[in-house]
Amino acid sequence: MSQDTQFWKWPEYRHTEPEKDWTTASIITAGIDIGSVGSKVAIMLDGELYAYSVIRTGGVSEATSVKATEWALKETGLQKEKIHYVVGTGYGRVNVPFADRTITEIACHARGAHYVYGPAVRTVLDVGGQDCKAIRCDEKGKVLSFLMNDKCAAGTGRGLEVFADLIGIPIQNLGEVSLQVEKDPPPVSNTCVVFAKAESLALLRQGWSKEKVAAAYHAAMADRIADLLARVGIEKEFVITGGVSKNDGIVERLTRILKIQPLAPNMDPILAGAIGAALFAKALQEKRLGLR
Amino acid sequence: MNATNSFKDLLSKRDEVAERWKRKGRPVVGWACSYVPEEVIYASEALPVMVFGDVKDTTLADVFLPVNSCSFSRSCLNSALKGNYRYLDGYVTSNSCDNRNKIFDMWKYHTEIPHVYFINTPRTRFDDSYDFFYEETVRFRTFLEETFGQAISDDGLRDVIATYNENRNCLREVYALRRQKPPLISGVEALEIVLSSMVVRKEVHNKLLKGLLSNVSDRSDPPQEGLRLLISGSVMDDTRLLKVIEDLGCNVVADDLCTGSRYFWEDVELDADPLRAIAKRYLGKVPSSFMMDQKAGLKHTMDMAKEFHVEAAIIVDLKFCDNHLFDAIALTDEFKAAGLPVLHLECEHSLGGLLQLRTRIEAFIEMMRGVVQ
Repeated sequence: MSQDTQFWKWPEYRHTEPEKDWTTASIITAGIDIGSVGSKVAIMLDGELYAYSVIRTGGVSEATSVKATEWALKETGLQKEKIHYVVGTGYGRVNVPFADRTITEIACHARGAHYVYGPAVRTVLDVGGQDCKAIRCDEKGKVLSFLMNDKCAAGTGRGLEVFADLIGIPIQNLGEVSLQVEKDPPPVSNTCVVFAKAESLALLRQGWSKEKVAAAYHAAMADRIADLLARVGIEKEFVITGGVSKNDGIVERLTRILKIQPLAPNMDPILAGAIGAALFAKALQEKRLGLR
Repeated sequence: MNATNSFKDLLSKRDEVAERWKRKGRPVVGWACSYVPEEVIYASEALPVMVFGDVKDTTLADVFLPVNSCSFSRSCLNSALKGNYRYLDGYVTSNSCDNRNKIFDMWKYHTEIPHVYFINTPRTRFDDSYDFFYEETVRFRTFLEETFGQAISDDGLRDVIATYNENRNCLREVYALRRQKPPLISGVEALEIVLSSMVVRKEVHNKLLKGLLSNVSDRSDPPQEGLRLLISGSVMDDTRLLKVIEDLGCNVVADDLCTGSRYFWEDVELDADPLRAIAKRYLGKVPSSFMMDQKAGLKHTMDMAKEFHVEAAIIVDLKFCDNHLFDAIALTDEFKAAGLPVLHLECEHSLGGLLQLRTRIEAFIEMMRGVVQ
């Protein structure tokens, strides 16, 4: 494949907290969030984030879950077998062969958002690769209600990947580019990712600039997400998780439409689901040990 | 042996049952809507069977239908086009929704079923609506008599009504077994029992039901106690979705499906003219979503929720089903007002995207129960 068709390819990464030591931890847990586009692993020591990895989900979820976990553990000296409790979540959650249990990404994102942003969070928007969820939760991070979009990918990360390839701008820069217009043009009207791509292509052929087409695409996505949020009802504090939370073009437009500022995260919000899963894993391990 | 296996077995052999009936030289008539007065078919010595869909594919029907039409009607038509309903001598439908209305033509002009018949069901329930529907029932009787050469007498109809009422009474008793905690019959079993009543002569089904009702209290394998759910929706012609739900630790204890409680909830009340009594029962029953005044239909659902001690509800709508999708909004409000959490699912008859449906159902259950119990 030639270089110019790789604009969708967002970078994979990992991290270890250098000052933390797993050998002194009493409960080691892992949350493994196999999304449709990205797979995230969070390793936690007594409920504190220790190491993580974010990789692109491959064709085989089992292999991806092993690869992502091994990568998260790289250079930590910790082996997979030493983890006390593993919770799988995300669309590929049933394909994590070493998981002790699976929990839905809805519960995990609410729990994870509570950890990442604190107990004031009441509305969590998770925009992932293939679907989009609006979740209402209480001060403990417990889900009160939720809504998910339909199977269509136009309002999601995968749609952005397709769009990045179309206009030839790396996906990390897309949001920023979409904001380089004075005023948003009318949004693209199609709700199907394939048709939205065709419509965008037609706009480019009409002579629209890349920035303007990007603005039209992002505006449509923001509108659709805002509709979903309106149906579940937004209450402060409002936060955005998932890969698309890194796209300023979406976040800024949503803020404009909803007239509510999402909280700024103090860690990578793409990890919220994996962190939530690892926190549930801790509670489940404590239960297993008779500690709760 | 499982207490309800005979119903499941019957359901899986529905084609054989119909073909056996045909070998006796008697007709088999498919019906597509719970507003078709089955008793009249039955009185003509025909076997009335509900037309179920084909879960495997819809490619033959796709040729004739717009993309945004009902996937259930689509799969039923596909089944007929594929020749699965070779044994049908007739197909009877009604204008219960625009899809059924239009798909009548596809059955008439594109399938090989010899007699395709349409009953005009009013949307209102004024006195003259009942008169009109009675006339439709009379016309239907004439059609059956002329088509199959079997006279349908008032006395014959009275006997059939008694058989049907007995079936309804037994089905209500089966449903009553789900009031207790845990229910004595699972949601999957209840659906199998109701669906199987639609594929065999009622006398046969009545015998099975009586056997079940007299033995079921001793069953060794009752359902495990779980979250008590009501399922609201239109048609459900197989148990796939209920199985997913119950396997996640729920008890489906009530429903308002037209292949569930709405099929048998009311008896025909006999009066001097049995045909008029039948017409009155069908038009007067718990209304389907296409009838005027949604509140009347919602009342049955909410009564079920209360009577069966339901803890939450799942509304299952077919995509593009206008009638039900309109009602879902009001119904959601009713459930919320009654303090019941509610999940609204929209799906295709094929249940494509079951993984995402499952995630929603699972998340709903986690929300109700908590993740770490």
